[in-house]
Amino acid sequence: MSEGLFEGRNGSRAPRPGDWTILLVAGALVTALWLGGPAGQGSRAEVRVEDTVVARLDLRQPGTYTIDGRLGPSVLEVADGAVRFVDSACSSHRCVASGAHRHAGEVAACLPNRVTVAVRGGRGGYDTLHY
Amino acid sequence: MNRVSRLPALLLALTTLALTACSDGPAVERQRFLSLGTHIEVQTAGAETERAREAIRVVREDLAYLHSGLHPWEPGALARVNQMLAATGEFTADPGTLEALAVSRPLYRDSDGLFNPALGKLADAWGFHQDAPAGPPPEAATIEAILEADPSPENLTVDGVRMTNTNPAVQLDFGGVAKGMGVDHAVGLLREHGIDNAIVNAGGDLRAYGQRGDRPWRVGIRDPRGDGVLAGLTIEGDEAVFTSGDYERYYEHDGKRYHHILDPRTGRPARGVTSVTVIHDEGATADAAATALFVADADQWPRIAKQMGIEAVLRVDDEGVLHLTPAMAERLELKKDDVTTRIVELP
Repeated sequence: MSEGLFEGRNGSRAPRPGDWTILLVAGALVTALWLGGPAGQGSRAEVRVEDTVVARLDLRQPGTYTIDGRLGPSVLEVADGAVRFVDSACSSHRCVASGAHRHAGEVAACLPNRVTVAVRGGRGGYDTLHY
Repeated sequence: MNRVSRLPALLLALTTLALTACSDGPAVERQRFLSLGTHIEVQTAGAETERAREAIRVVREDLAYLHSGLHPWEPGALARVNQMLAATGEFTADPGTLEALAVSRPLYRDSDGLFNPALGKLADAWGFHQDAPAGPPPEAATIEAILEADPSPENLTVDGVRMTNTNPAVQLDFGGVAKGMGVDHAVGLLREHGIDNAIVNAGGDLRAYGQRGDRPWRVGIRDPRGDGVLAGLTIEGDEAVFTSGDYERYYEHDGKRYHHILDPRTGRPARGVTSVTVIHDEGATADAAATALFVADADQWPRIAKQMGIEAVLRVDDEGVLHLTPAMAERLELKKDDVTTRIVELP
């Protein structure tokens, strides 16, 4: 018997169907990590008030989060793999108007309330985003 | 591994190898903080952690100083200078204002006045000198009076730290160049502290130099009107990438949208353009040029770009057409195929 990928000279077993599944899943995982999805789809959001990280949100888990900023609450919503401000204690609401953020490297901010949200994870091939 | 399959171990090894490959590169220190009225992100590559952190700390202090000195409407050094300017005559100006004026004056001249840092009164009249811009828009007579007075940096003379003003309509607003100066300051300080590779991103505008390990820095240019990345760009050496867009600061009044990029010739928000992106080796020049080329007429901007020393320009008009100079077209890797592009030669 020749020594193939799944059989050793010490009597290792032949591959089972589950092994192929594991291999495929592992391959897909590595590929996904490498490519990071189209345009660097982010996987999490880091929320700060001033310099302090106050939350890390999983962009795969929908939810609504209230963050206490300098002026009052900022409300963040995670949905469809993106994070966005849905309300904030600022007067301009530019943060709300900036819409959904899903790409690694994007930063949304409510500057008057000193709340920033940076999308992280996902390779995407870019070190930073220009906008 | 008698009765034990080698498969899990093999998979683990392969995955570890692949993930190690994914990390491809040098130590990267990345910090972000609020300054210059926006969020700043500084990334260094290949530098010892402590050295990088100390350099970023110094950058942060410097940007805070720059921000307080050049803020156009909060109490501070520039507010005091503007009080003195309103009275005309001679007075002692602070170093930050003098530096900003020295940086801005040639950019004003090279842009044929389309970048004009002496029009602070106009920005104030439009309601942009507050954290939350708001209308109503000024009366036509107010706009005409400001334009009639023709405020410009040429009304100011500087002798050492003494500044003299001959036009009471001059009010300085360095909002069109401050972020550029900020990233230039930051890069200078990082280099002084032995950082050979870094990106300084100030609210989306950036300057980058060196590399990330054995490859260039890669920048994604976000689609200003859609989702995702419009184009990719690799940094060559030391470059600043700046964009002026009509979506950055604006308000709506009576159902009409007014953005903050004012045309010094009409006194009103410039129309016909969505965004302008430029590449240059200095942040301040790139910053001012992005503003000037946004304001410039369609048949005028290539000449203005040439005068300002800008070769790489992307101008997106209000119909979504991408107007690119050959130098920009060569650099951009477009990621969307549903866009119309036109190549525009510089004179």
